[in-house]
Formats: sequence, C-alpha cells, structure tokens
Amino acid sequence: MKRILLLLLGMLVALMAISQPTATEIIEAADQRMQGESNRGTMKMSIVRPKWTRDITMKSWAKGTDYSLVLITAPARDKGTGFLKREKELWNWQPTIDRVIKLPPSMMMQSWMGSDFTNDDLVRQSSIVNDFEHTLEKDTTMMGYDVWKIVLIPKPQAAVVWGKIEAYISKEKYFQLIFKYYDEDQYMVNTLNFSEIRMMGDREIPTRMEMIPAENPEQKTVVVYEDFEFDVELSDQFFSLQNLKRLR
Amino acid sequence: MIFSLAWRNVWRSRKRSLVVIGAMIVGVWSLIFIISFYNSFYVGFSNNGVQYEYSHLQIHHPDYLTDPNINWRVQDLDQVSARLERMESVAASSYRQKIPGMIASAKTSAGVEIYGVDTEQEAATTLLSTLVVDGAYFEGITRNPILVSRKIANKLKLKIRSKVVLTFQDLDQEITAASFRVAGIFESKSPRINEGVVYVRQSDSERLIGGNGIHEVAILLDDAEDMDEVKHALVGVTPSTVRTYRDIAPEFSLMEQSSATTQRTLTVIIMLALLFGIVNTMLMAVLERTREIGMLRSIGMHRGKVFRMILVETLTLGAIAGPVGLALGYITVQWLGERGLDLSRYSEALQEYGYDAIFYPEIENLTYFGLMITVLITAFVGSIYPAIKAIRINPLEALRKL
Amino acid sequence: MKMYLTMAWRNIWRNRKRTWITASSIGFAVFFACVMQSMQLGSYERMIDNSVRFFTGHLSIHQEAYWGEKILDNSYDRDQLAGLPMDPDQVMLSVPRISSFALASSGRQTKGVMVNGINPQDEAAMSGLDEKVVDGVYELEDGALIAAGLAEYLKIGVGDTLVLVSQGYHGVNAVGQYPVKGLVAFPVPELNQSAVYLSLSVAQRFYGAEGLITSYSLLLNSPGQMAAAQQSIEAALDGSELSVMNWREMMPELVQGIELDYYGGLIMIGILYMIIGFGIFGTFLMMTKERTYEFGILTAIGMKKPRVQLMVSLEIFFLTFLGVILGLMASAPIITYFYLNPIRITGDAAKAFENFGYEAIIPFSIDPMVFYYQGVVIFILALMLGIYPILYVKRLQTIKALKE
Repeated sequence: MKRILLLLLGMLVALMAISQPTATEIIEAADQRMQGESNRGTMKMSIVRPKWTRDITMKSWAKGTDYSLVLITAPARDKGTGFLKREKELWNWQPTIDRVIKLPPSMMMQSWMGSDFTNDDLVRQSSIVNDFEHTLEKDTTMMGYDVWKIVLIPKPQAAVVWGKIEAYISKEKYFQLIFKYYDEDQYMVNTLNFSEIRMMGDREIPTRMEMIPAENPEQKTVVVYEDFEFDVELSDQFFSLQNLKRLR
Repeated sequence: MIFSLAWRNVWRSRKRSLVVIGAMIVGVWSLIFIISFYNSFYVGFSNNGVQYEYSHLQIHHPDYLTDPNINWRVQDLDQVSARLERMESVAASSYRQKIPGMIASAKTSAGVEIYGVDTEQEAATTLLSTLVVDGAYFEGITRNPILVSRKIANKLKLKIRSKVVLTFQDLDQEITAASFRVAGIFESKSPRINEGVVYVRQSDSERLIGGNGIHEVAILLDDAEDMDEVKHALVGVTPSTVRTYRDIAPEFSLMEQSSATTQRTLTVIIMLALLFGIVNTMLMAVLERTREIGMLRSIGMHRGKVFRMILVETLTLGAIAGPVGLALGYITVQWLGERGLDLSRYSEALQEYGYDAIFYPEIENLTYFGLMITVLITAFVGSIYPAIKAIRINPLEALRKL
Repeated sequence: MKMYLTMAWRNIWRNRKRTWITASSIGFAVFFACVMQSMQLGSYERMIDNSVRFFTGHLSIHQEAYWGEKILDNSYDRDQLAGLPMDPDQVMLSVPRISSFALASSGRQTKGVMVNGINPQDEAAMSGLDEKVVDGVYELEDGALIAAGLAEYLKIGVGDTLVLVSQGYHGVNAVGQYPVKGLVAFPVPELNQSAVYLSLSVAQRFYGAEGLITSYSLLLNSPGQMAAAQQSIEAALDGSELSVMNWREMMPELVQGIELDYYGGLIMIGILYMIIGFGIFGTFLMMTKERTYEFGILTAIGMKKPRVQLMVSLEIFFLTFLGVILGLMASAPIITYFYLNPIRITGDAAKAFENFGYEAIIPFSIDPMVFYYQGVVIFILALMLGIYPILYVKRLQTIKALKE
C-alpha cells in the first residue's frame, strides 16, 4: 500500500512537472491568444489627456507577426487614413492627398496618431516572444486570477530599448493582465493594463488595454476591442499597397 | 644738420616729446595686443574647426552634398587612398560611413548622424579619442560599442554601458535597428557634432547597412598651406567632390573677414586719434617757437629746410616710439602666447560658438613691420600741417613779437 | 567768484589759437570715442535686430509650457489676446505664427521640415521674408513658400506640388498638398534645408488647429521700451495660461556672445582713452608751460596761489566743456550720416558677409547713450588731466617763473 502511494505521489510530481509550462511557452501562449494566426476586428482608441480626450475608431487586420493593416473610420477628419505594416516597414495611406508615404526611421519613435504608442510599437509588437529571454519569477494572484509573474530580459543582440519587461499572465487561459516596461536602470517607463475579459470570436480575451506612461500618470491611451475574430482567411496579397488604397 | 637740429629740438622740450612718444608707444603696443587677440580668436576658431570637425579637406560623392543618402559613396576610393598614401603633406585621413538615423533609449529618442569609423584613423584625424570625458575610446564594450556626446547622453539619460537602439535605412532601403552599448561619452569642440553625431565602429556599420563604401573622406594635412595643392591632386583622381574646410563652412571666411575688417577699422581709429595728438602737439611746438623759427628764417634758413626740420622732428618721435611700442607688444604677445588668456568665465557662450576658453594671442612678423610703417606715415602726415604753419611764419613779425 | 569767472573766460579767449587747439583735442577725443562705441553698439544692434526680426521678436507671447516643449498641443487661441494692452507708441508690429514639424514629401524624397503658418504682409514687414525670394513670387494664398535648399533636396520647383504629412493639434492626422509659389534662400544652412511657409489660416487648417497660434511676436519701436511693454503685458496676462518672454530670455547664447564681445570692446575703448589722454595731456602741458611767466607775474603782484589755481581750474573747466560740446556737435551729424548711409564693405569681406546673410556694411548706432556716456567720460578724463596745471601752479616758484 505504501509503495502504491509512493508511486502515485511520484507520478503526480512528474505530472505536475510536465504540466508546468516554461516561461517562454507561457509568453508564446498568451501572445497566441491575443493574436491568433490572423485576426480582424474593430476597436476604439481613446487618447486621454488632463485637458482633453480624443476618440479614434478603426478597423484592423493582422496575419502572423509580419503583416498588419489599420484603417481609421472616425473621426471624419481622419477617416480613410490607413497604415500598412509589412515586415519592418510602415506605410501610411492618405486618401485626402491620394498618396502613400513610407515612414522614415526618424518617424519611428514618434507617437502614433497622437497616442502613447509609438509607430515603432506598431511595427515590432510581437518581439516579446523572439527578442527576450523569459524567466518565471513567482506565482501570485491578481484581479481574481492565479498568475505567473514573468520577467523578460532582452537578448543581447536585440534592438530593444527596454531594460526589462514584467509580464503578469493568468494561469487559467493565459490572459495577459499587466505589462510593466522598465529602462536599464530599473525605472518603470510604461504600464500596460489589460481588463474586461470577454468573449470575442472563438475565445475569451481582455478587451480593454490601457497604456499609462510612468512620468505622466494623468495621461493614458485606452484601446477597447469592439468586435474581434481570429484565424480568419487573409492572403498575403491583402497586405499590399494596392489593397491599402482600396480598402474602405 | 637737420637731423641733429631735430634731435636736439626733440629733447629740448622733454615732457612734450615724451607725451607724444608715450601716446605712440601705447598706440602701437595696444594695436599689437588687439590684433594678436583677434588673431587668437580666429585661429582658435579655425584650428578647432579643422582639428575636431572638418579636417583640411573632405571628399564626398557630388550628389551626397544635396542629398545625404547612403547610396552616394565616394567614387574610385582605391585610387584616392593610393594617392593619399603617396602624398607627404597628408598627416592623417579618416574614411567614414555616414548614416542618417535615430538613436533611442527607454527615455526618448533623437535624430543623429551615425559615423561608422575606423577607430585608429579617426583618432589620428580628429583627435576624437582625446575628447572622451567618460568611459573609454571604443573600449570596455565588446559587442557594438558606441560613442555619444555629453549632450545626447544627457538628453537620453545615458551612462557608460547604457544600451541604445539605432534605427536607420540600410542599403536596400529597409529599415534596420540594432542595439549598441555606450563605451564612451565625448565632448566635442564642435556644436554640430555635440548636437547630433554618434560614432560606431566601421565593421559594425558595414554589417548593419549591408555593405561597405565610404561616404566621407576627411584629410588632415601637416600644413594648411598645402591645401590647394592636395585638392588639385585629388580632383584628377576621383570624380567625387573635393572641398577644403573653407568651402564647406562659410563661417570661416566670415570670421576671417570680419576679424580683418575690425582690425583695419581699429587701426584707422587709433592712428587717427594718434594723428590728432601729434598735430596738436607739434602745432603747439611751432607756436611756442614762433620767435625762434622767425630767427632761423631771418638768418637765412630756407622755407624748405624749416619744413623739413619740423618733419624730421616728428618722424624722430615716431622712430623712437615705434620700436619701443613694437618691443613691448612683442614681449606681451610672447608672454600671452605661452601662457594663454583664460576666458573660462564665458566658456558657455564660447562653447556655443565652438571656442576653447583659453586663447593664445599670436601675430605675424609682417604685422610688426606694417605697424612700424603705419606709425611713421602717421607721424609724417601729422607733421605736415604744423610744418606748413611753421613756414608761413613771417620772420619780421615773429621777431617783432617780443 | 564772479571776478575769477570773468578772468578765466577772458584768459581763454586771449590766446584763441591755443584754446582752439586744446578744445579741439578734447573734441576729437569725444568724437573718436563716440565713433568707436557707436560702431560697436551698431554691430550688436544689427545682430539683435536680425535675430529678433527673424526668430523671436522683442517680446513673444506663448502658452506657458511652449518654451519648454515646443509642440502644437502647447498652442493657444488667438482670441485670448483680445484686449491686451498694445500701445501703438511701443509696438511697431505684432506677428502671429503657428509653427510645428512635418514630413515633406515629393515622390521618392521625404524630409522632416519646419512648417510656419504666417501672415505674409506682417512677415515681410517683420523679417523681410519677401526679399529672400529667389524664384517665383512672394504670395501664399493656398500655396507654399519653401526654402531653396529644401527644394533642391526634394527636387521640386515653383509650380510643383509639396506634400506635407504630420500630426496636428491633439494628434489629429495632418495632411495636405500645396502648390509651391516661391523659393526663399536663407544663408543659415539649417533654415535653408527645412523651412516651409504657409499662410496662417492654411497652416491652422492643416494642423487641425483653427484659430490657434504657437507664438505672437512683438516688434517694438525701440528696444528701450521692452521692459515697460513686457511689464504691462505681463500684468494683463496674469492669471491666464499665457506668458510673455523677451528676446534676452529666449536667446541667452546671443546675450552671452554680445556680453563677451562687449568686454572686448571696453578694452579697446580703454586703449583709445589712453591715447586720447596723452593728446589732451600734451596740450595741457604746453598750455601751462607757455603761461609760466604769466603765472609768475600773477603771484608776484600778490595773487594767492589757491586763487590762481581756482582761475586755472575754471579755465580748464570751460575748455573741457567747450571741447566736449564741440566733439558732440561734430560726431552727432557724422555718426547720423553713417547711420543713414552706412560704409559699404567691398571685396572678399563683402562676399563673406553676404554669404551669411548680413548686409556688407559697417553699421553705426545712434543710441543717445553713446553720446551721453562718451561725453561724460571724456569730460571727466579731461578734468582729471587738468589736475596737472593746478599742481604745476602749486609748485611754481615765482622768481624762477619770472626768469622764463
């Protein structure tokens, strides 16, 4: 009996070890949940400043890490403006002047549409998987979830300005909950909060993201997913300059 | 006869002569001081420009000048470098890649020009290694070291070993980014370089833009006099544009010309003031000696001789004062030239315009000669009116006066 | 006392030649000092005037945060300026501008530029922008003026289309295309590579900033009114989010540069004083020497030395005063003439100046301070040198003097 118990215990431990995913796997799974193989949706971005707020609504399409396309639908002034990301390049379609402009490197660190995101954030959003070493730091609870706290340290060669990122990811369903961005001196630069977990297409995801710069806590940018679909059929052709001009 | 007469006259009224001589000495001495000081401004400015920023000559692809794009590389580089190596007047040269881009830290970002340099060449050409004030010259960081200016370091909140990301377009027009670590922080004498230049190793920049090729060749000569000669020699070797630092930066000729204009204006004003002192004093001397001159005339001295007497007397004053003033000026310039004139109280403003805080007055030997001539001319001109007055003295009337 | 005054006055006019020589040597001292200082101040005035007209104005009103962070979000509604005390006796011109960065594009070439929304008439009056047009015309309407160097880089000319893309007020999308109406050439490379001008209303529409401006620059009739004008505007702006700055606050490096040069100039004027001083001293020396006999007689007939000294002092005072007035009378018209008809520089120097956008002239200043200050300084200098004759009288030995 004792031996059976011991055996069972041993199996349990082994099982637990297997079921405990590695930090990299967690980040990958969380990223996969948010992105899918491809996705399509509409969202609203609110730029919140102490004295004013501006809302922008947009449609977006993405495929893998290399392709994405954003089309602004409101306000009227910006309607029809499009952004196309192909690999490392960012193109901007301006219907009012009937032109596509390739954003030069000097524009990459500028804010995107006046928000707390930079153009660079758009282009390199998925590098959290490839550009970092991931370490599981501890287990904790947060917003009613059991979560992993994972520390992301950039790989030596990676072109990443952060010194470290702390990611809080729920153990159940791999929801991204909080990302904290630090500089090399371990000062926090930005906080990205995720909330309002709801069903979107075939899965539950956080539908509200809040980016708060540490230096100006009274300002933030909020992105709310209004409707989202995953793993939709999108050809590479969809992410072309011609299509960027054609989309409405 | 006239000379000994003039000489005696000079010393007969010692005080008066000493006053005129004193004025001349101060005039000459101060002009030397001012000219040498202006020279030190200009020389300091252009030396800094040549030494730390432009070198004597630069070569670029002709199209690079209007469109600084990394595809415009210096043509026939092998012939250029072969030619440069054969020329004895060339002290050093640096072959640079120059890539417009962006430097970013977690804090913020800034537009910069990325200089991909051969570290030894650059150190020999622009003394970059001596300007490093924190960290070391491309040492201490093995992978992708970068040198940034104090100004950029402050803006991006960088320290030694801090990481930065450079973003730029490679030769295929693709946007590329790479991380570098700060090996050293420099303080250049050039406001432009402090504002927006970072240095990386050429091996790194070549790898990142995906090719070699040089956008700028900077050439330092042993002697600036050979500049045009070297320029001519290079023009025959490459269709690329060869320019001297004066062609590149018009502020050098502006500085030189405005300093020359000021020197000339000052010389004229001081000489005019001196001239007036001479005229006045000599006029007084003539009036004082009305009787004596009347006597000389009546015992048969020609008008011409009287005229010459006054003239020689004044020139004698100049001939005494000139060398003394020059000697004093020479000593001052030598002394200051060695010690330097410390204006560090204004170092902030000076730095803004690309100056060192310490100036070393210097002067060309020809200037001493020129000043001596100028003083004699002034004395000559100053003596004419009193001399005319002297010959107009009517001997009979003059004698009757007492 | 009256007797001494009369005696001194008569003495002066007894030997007119000597008096004129002495007075004119003082007069020339005043003249040279005035000319030198006038040239020095003139060059600063030109430097300041150029910078003030082109960049900041004497005073500039912006939103408080703007100077620290020059972004469009720190612009303000021009209507907020309504009711501001703008004394036409002080303010010569007031120029509204809206400035921000944008990306200029023409086909393949793209470049970061500085877009300035301006009022063409005001701008022409303020900075003479209209004189910098090298191709096309100086008119904006719905078009753009662009810097010549920028045009070369973008490979566009008059009649072509300039595309501008940027982020406007509160981050709105800012795009527009404008026909190039003219090219303007600037000597400063930075400006020549990046300046774009639109009319104020077009720029406001482009940036989605209707009615907003980033700066409101004031050009005053005379720089001397700056403090007063700044104070009254400051008081009127109190409690609003706007602030007014003067050019000294906005361009500290220019102030420091001028200060440095000013001290250099003081050394030179000091040297001039020395040389002038020798000249004046020389004439005093002669005057005393000539009059030794006379002084001897005066003391011999029983005049007390202090009284002789008093008389001589009065004479020197008259002479100096006469000289200074003479000098001012000579320098004022001549300096005014050169102020109105500046000396032209020729040859290489002229080219160097023009390359840098300076007119090739030697500018003079007619600041009244020049005349006042130099008049006073020379007056004091001459009086100090006048101590010599007084001391001479004190040491005078009557017997010896009578032997002269």
